Amino acid sequence: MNKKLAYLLGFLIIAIVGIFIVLKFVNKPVNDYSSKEVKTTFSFADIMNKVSNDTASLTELKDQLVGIEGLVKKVTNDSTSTTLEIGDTTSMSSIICQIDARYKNDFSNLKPGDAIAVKGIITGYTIDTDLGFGNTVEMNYCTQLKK
Amino acid sequence: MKKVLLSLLVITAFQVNAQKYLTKSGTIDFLSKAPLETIEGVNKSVAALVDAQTGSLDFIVQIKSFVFDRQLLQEHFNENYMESTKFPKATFKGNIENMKSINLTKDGEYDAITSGKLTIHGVTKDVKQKGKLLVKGGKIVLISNFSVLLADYNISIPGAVKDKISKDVKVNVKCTLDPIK
Repeated sequence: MNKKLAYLLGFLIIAIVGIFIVLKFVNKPVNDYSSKEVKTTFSFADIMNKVSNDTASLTELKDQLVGIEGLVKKVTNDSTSTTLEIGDTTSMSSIICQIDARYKNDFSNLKPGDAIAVKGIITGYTIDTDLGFGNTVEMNYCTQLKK
Repeated sequence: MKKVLLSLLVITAFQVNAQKYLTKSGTIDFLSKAPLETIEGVNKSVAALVDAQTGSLDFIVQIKSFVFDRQLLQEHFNENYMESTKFPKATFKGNIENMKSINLTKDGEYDAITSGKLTIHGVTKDVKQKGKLLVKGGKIVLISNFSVLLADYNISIPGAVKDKISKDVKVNVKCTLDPIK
């Protein structure tokens, strides 16, 4: 094998490996938090208390993986997704959890009133002063919180 | 007897019209289709409120609640395009102009014309949009499909991916609202 051919072969191998790494990086699926440890676990009342009285500490929880314990208020299902509303019947305020589609089946038997523990990324919150929505905390990529 | 029935009918009709409808798990998805890449995001935690008496309509959308199938898209969407830490929410505040012509006591599909202020990426624009309002078993379903021109809301696309990203984005709204008890 002459030198030129060896260089060409080496270049091709590096290019193929490079393309493979780039494609793997670009097509990496969204993070799976099901096996990750939560930073802290809060009750529904704890979180709502933060929305009302301590938004500074709630803001610090944005983009963090946290656990939530509470009661199911509403379950919204379609063929590809499940969204849970956690709260109680005495207030409009609630926590909205978009369930990670990869773990949708873990939540298939839930109904309003069931106790639930989930973990997910806090994406934001809304303090409602005039519309009648109640306060809302939103979470993404939620999965079961196993103790 | 007739008077009693009539009174009951009027009271019932008034109660329906005074009703507010709410969801916090509505759906908004978008599709950006360009020759090289298709980008789809979906948010199933959209809050929407309709006041049947006044016709007022409000939407609140947390930008970081959009879900993608690829991690890189999610990061680019939040950090490079929507700057979601700086502009965490998109909102619509307006009215269903023809609310009075929609009979919320009768199941069916109605045309709805909405107008109001749409705020995305910190930019507020007056918009008017046609959509559908379905009445079904006491619930209402709002359906609308429209396009958003990214430049209208100062959403800039980095030069390196300019050809990959469409300049306008197709947005689909579907929210099922329950009456507030």
